[in-house]
Amino acid sequence: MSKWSGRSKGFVFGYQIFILFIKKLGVPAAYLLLYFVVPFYYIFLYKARKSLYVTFKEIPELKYSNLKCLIFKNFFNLGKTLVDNFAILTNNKSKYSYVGNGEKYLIDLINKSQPAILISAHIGSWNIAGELLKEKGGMINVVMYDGEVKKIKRLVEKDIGKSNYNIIEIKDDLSHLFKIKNAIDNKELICIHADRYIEGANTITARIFDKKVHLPMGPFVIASKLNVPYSFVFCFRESIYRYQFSATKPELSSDPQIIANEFAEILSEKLSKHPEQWFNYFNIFENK
Amino acid sequence: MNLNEIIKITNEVLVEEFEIEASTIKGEANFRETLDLDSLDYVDLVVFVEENFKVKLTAEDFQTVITFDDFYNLILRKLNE
Repeated sequence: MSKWSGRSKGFVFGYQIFILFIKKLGVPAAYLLLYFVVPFYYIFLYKARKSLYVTFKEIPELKYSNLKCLIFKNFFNLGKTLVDNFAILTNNKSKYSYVGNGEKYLIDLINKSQPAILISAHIGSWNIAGELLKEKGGMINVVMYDGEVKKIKRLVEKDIGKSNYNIIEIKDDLSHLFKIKNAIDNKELICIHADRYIEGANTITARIFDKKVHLPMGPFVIASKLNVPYSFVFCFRESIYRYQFSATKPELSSDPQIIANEFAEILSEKLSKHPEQWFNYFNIFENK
Repeated sequence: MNLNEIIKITNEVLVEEFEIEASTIKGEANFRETLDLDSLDYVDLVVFVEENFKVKLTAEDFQTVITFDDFYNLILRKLNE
């Protein structure tokens, strides 16, 4: 996990082709296109395959017997999720629906203008969760690395239009910490992924499947030091146009270790249930 | 609030929060090195300044902070804004 550079795979040109397909031919046509693209990634992304393999081997009572098939399915699901994300941003939102579990907690936060840290992971699709929250009137700030931001900004500006969330870039000058603080002062929601970190970042240890893992310390410290409620938010693809959303009851804690332990526990549960939607292609069990 | 009061309050909190000897805090000493600040410690600093002095700091503000004197003067300047 420590080897992530802060940049995501994929080419802007490739994304643009998918957006064109979604706009002109619809979402199912874009899914069909995945049959040509996914094998390419499956063959050439050896490190991602290896990381998934190592991660899946740690899952007790894994419901899939053939790991190679599961990894291919995982790549395919990532493609479908990206297509869905683009579809939602390109005026196809009405086609999508979700079943919610715990959404009332987040609606409550929005109605009470209560800022909160929504902690998530590279599993399923938080973009759908963001869309749900935006519908309810919440302002969402997504914290992400510079390398991811540039790519997404280019796409949004050129092909999609207006993004459904505000992006806070993680930068060396630490400006993101102040932007997060400002957003909280403005009673907004902050969404942070807490399952991946870049080399040199501060980490906190927790246990997933009873094995020690390093998680980025930032999300947990921010939630504890700024004394704002945190909720663990996940959104999984169930079928075409249908997602399953979940959010835990917002809690307060002044101890980042407590939050990290709770996150690790819920992440273990989600990873066991949805390995095919685990989109963190870095070995979380790797020693730092 | 005058500069001496700012120094007193700040030093008391820094000694407690960053677990350092009061004697290591000198006006001309390097702020980041003495406190051994990492990125997340700035969250503590921002919260501390806001709670005690009711002023907000920005990332740009910290770019001017090299010594403890710079930090005290930054708070004083913000209070007078």
